[in-house]
Amino acid sequence: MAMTRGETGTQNDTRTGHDSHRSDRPTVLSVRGVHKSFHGRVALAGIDFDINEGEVVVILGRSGSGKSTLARCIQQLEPIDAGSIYLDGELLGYEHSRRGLRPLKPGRAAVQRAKIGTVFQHFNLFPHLTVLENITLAPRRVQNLTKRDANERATSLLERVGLADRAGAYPKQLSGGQQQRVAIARTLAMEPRLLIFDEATSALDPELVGEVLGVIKGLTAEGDTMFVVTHEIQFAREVADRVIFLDGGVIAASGTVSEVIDNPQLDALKRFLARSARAQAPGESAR
Amino acid sequence: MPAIPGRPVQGKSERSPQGPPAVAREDDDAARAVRRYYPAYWAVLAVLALVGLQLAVFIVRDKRLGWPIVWHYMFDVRILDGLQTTIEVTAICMVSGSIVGLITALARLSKFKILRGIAFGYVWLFRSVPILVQLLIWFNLAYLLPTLSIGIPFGPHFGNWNTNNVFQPFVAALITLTFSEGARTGEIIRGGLLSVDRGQKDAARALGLSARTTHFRIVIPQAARVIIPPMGTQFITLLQTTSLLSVITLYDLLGTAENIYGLTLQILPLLLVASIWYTVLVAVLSVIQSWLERRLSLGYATPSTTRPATVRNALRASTWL
Repeated sequence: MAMTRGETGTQNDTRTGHDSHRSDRPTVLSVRGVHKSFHGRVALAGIDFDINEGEVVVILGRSGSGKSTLARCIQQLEPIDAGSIYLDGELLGYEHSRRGLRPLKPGRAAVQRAKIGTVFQHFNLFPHLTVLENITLAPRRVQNLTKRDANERATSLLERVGLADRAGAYPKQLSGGQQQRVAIARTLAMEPRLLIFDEATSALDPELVGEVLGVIKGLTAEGDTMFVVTHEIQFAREVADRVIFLDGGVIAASGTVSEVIDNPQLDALKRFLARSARAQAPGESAR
Repeated sequence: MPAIPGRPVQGKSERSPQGPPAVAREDDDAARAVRRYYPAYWAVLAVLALVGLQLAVFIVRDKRLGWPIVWHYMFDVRILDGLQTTIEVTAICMVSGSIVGLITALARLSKFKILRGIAFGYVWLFRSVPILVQLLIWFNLAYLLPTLSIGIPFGPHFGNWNTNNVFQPFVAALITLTFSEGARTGEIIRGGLLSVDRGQKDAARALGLSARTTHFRIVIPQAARVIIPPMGTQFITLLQTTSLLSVITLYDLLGTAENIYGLTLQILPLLLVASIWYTVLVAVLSVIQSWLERRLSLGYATPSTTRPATVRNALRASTWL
């Protein structure tokens, strides 16, 4: 995968470091020159990177650096202003027509979204549906699974996240950590090619963070391809195959854990890591 | 209750020096508290009871109200006919008005500017012209357009009808109330749709659900919870608006009562007959509303505070019993 380097100027060379151990795998996601601004305020100013199959890429950055925007753009929840995003070589959100590139019909865009799954910061479980219904809705509606098959899949996923006994509960009856684990099961039920975690533990009480991180770590062990936006430096250290540091809407640094977290070169990155270390020092993210 | 008799509460006196001494008495025990007596409450209650009694005596004893006459006309065939008209118009317009309202709400939230503009104009127009005026306009449409025809604008026509034959009182009533109701419920529904957290739509879309499924399975069911109470009020208003229908010679409950007392001059008894029937209809609507609210509150409250959605519980909740 020839990766055209953007004009962003990455700190560590993206090729030599991270691609070493999983470069033989096919590319799942390609992000090329993505720009996004909201009412004139620039959120993403030219983002380029790839994620190979089975790779776990962790995005770090201060709040407002564009991490969540990038996650939402990849999930096709926000239209991008320029650039392109490919999933398994397929252009997302747009198609070529005689007059040039044009947005996809809503139905086809929905089919593309189904191949990517996002776990949100605020869980976003459907409060009027039970845990089981939350998980089976999309497989039944989008993948046309029978009720029995969908329930079977949901039950085994609930077992995996340790909530098999709460299938009949409503989200409001669960703790935050339990809700987020249901949200993970709901996302996994669609068997997505790419799994996005958008600050999945940021809204949780400190003592509940551990159970959710434990589930996510279990998924990395199973070889899922993941794009993880997080504030948990220690967690990033444990799961990341590659770390990307976003600053001011561009990739300011990218490389392995040892390159980016352990031996930061960039001043902005050093300051960010120092601040995070201080913020997490007293209790440390419970694990 | 494990009380700590005789032990002073430490530090209390330091924090509130102007308060009572921080020494507990021997009989300080919440478990042995007696019921507090509220004299003002009982006084107000006594006054209200007296007024109520006076009113009840007046209602039962006063000859002018003519209870035997009320009873006589309560199930009169003409009154029941009028009642049927009232129920029919209300029921049909509840459904058609809600459908128009839902379409209006979706149009007002559409990403297409022109749709939003049309919906806005519609709501503005039909909410500003009084319903009585709208009724008269639809009923008298024949003055403006003597014949109606269906066809391609500026092109061939497929059929012609005399406007007066089409806009019979009943049809005029249905059209007026459907559109005025649609404009009002449209705003209620729009408010409900906007109250649903944006993250719900994000989650549904991220799962690959289509726009239609997202709307009908995720957004609308959650909006319904917020929509039902003001919708109930709106439906009750609709029921009462049907009492205007006699101006276009459609004889509903009130119109029939007026017809009868126009002949017999038993004005108050017949107005009482109509009032009693209106209260019965509103009671039925309230019970339905309460039942719906219960159904839709699934997942929002703990089971211990929510009684199941049975007719009995709906009855209990919609009354003070």
